[in-house]
Amino acid sequence: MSSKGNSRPPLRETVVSNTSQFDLLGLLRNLWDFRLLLWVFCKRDLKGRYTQTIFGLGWVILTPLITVGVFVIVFGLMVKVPTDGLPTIMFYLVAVIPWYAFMNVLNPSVQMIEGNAGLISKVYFPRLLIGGSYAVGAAVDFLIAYAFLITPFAIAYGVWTLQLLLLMPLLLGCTLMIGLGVGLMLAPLNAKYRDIKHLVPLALQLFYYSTPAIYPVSAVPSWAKPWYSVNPLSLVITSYRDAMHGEWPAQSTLLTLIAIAVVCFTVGVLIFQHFEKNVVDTL
Amino acid sequence: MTWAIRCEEISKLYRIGKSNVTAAEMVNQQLRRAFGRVVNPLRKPAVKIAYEAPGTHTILDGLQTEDAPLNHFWSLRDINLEIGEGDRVGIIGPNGCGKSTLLKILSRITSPSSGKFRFRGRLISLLEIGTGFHGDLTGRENIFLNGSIMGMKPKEISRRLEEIIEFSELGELIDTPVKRYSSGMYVRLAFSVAAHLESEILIVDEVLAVGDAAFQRRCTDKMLQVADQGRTLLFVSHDMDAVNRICNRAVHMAHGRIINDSRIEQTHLQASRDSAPTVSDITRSYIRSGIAMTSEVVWAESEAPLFDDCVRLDSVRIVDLDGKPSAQFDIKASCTVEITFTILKEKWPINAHIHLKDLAGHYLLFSMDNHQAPPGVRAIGQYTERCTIQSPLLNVGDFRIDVELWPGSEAEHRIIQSSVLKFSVADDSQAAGVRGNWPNTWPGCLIRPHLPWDIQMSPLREKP
Repeated sequence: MSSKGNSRPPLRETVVSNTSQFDLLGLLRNLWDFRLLLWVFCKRDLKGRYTQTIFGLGWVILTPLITVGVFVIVFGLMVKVPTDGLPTIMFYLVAVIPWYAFMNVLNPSVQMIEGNAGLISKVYFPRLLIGGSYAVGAAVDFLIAYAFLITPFAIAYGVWTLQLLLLMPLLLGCTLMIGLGVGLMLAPLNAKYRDIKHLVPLALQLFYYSTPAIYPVSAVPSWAKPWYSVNPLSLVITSYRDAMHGEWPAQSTLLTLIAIAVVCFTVGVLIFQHFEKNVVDTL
Repeated sequence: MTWAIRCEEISKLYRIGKSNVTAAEMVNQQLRRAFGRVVNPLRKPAVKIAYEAPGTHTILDGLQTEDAPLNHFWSLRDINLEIGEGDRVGIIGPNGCGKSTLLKILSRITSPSSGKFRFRGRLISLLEIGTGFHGDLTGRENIFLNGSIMGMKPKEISRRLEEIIEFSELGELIDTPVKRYSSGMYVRLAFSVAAHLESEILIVDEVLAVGDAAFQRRCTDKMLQVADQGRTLLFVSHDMDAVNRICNRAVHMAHGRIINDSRIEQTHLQASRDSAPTVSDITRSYIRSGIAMTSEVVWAESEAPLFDDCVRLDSVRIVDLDGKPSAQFDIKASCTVEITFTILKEKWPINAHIHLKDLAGHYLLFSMDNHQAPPGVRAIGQYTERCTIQSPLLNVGDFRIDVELWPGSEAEHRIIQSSVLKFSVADDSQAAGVRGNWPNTWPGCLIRPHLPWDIQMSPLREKP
């Protein structure tokens, strides 16, 4: 406890002004000061998501499992979409689960200011942490699904490879960075124009169909091919599929993916930081 | 003295009207404005409105729209404020004066449009009940959640956990989800967390009003204790008693500016007679703002308060020794309340009552004429009754008087004129009266009667 003696170390002085200069060091120090809040938010979200549910965390596995089940029946058994020689279940698992990770970070991030208005308008903390907690939450969900669905099925079907394990952290990291980056760009906009949150699911749906989730890239006509080499989710999904064939993805694929992820994330953080200070006034 | 918070020229601009003016509308407005200037360069700027609410209350004054872009106003304008370490500062002012905006800026929830501020150490703010509480989590879990939102480490929270739970008086309920709490329980937990966490600066908006009386008292004590530990307290309230009790400095805001500020109040022992206003001066002037003093009310016959066609109140006055109505008295002068009424019918035993309160509503005294009034039913006629409030009795301050004509216990109604007279008592600080030779500020108590003192001196026995 502070005493009135002079032995106390000097207090840290904080200066707050309206300058829009980006201060990376200050941001990092601030995030570090509040690092525990990230954990607390994650716990809060997790608890909030699964209280008063019967299956609790089981939903993390059930949701992709049911989706994949439907895909297998509809596209695998009925439409007979080609799967590039992969077991149908695996073909869809490695598409659906990364896609869910992407959506689980993007959707809540877009609404993070609106959804936490009560908190944001009453307490100060680095608002980036909310987005960070969504990313951690999506990562946890992904890892559970990866451990309990992708890995066991891959082993069962004999398509488990070292590549499938080693690529996962990189691909997951890029997926989350892109989702969070886009979310951070749109969140301040959504605080002011709530149209965004209606537009995002529509855009995501279009994006979903332009991503080789339910079909292989090999089925795509050649005029559309360039899109599939810059669509980051396409790169992620095809990388997983290649990995199950025991192949490393092309260097260019990974570099494109990393570049997109870094740019998305950086731009997202910069935009968010710029609007963060006064975003309360637009709520 | 070292400062804890220093504001330099803080201003905050807000928009008037719709929050979503589309880009097209903005362009449209700007174009029209620019075009208007070309056509008529002498034309005055478009917005120079003092927003007047019905009545006389000014919502925005002219200075708040001056130099502001179209459809904007200054919620805060050039606030300069330096708050010393360990100060307990009360910020008071009417609704919409910018108090909450200032607190929001100081808590870093929003940023100033221009200007800057600095603070030393950690800053915790309690702007609303249960901020950052999660309904599904228990009280105990929420202490950790809330504590970390305020930037505390789990270790620090654990260390204080027992103290926090004890202060909140929630007992067993601490392990119940907070969505089952009453609002009083909510605020008890929230305040306990904020007050017990280790921060150098604590900002409290008016949230304590929800707690019960006992808890409010303990909050007051806690806030004083907080300041004793060298922590700085910033407190917004409409409860002038709380401000008087807790704060050693009061800042009065209106229309986005600081209009009155007591310097740090020394103990009344040191304050010199010509010092800056004290906290109680400022709270009093705030209570008084917008209220006109009234020394005399005379009713026309048709509008006069009438009871049962039997008694009519004609006039009430407060007069000085010469019998002249006055609303301003010196502390050494007596004043007299004069009530004139007419008995039209012999039916009730009418008594006149007066209730003396201060402007904040503290009830000082009650007096009635039953010693002098004739027994039984009042005879027809006009009566003028005078009651002298002798000096020394009242301290410096603003007072109001309710006048009542009471027709006896059986009547269901009576005539009551609430706050019909309002007057002030001032002190010229001359060495006279109860003050005697005391040269300093007299504390802001309600009354200043002359009490007899007895002094006994016994000579010291010499040691053998």
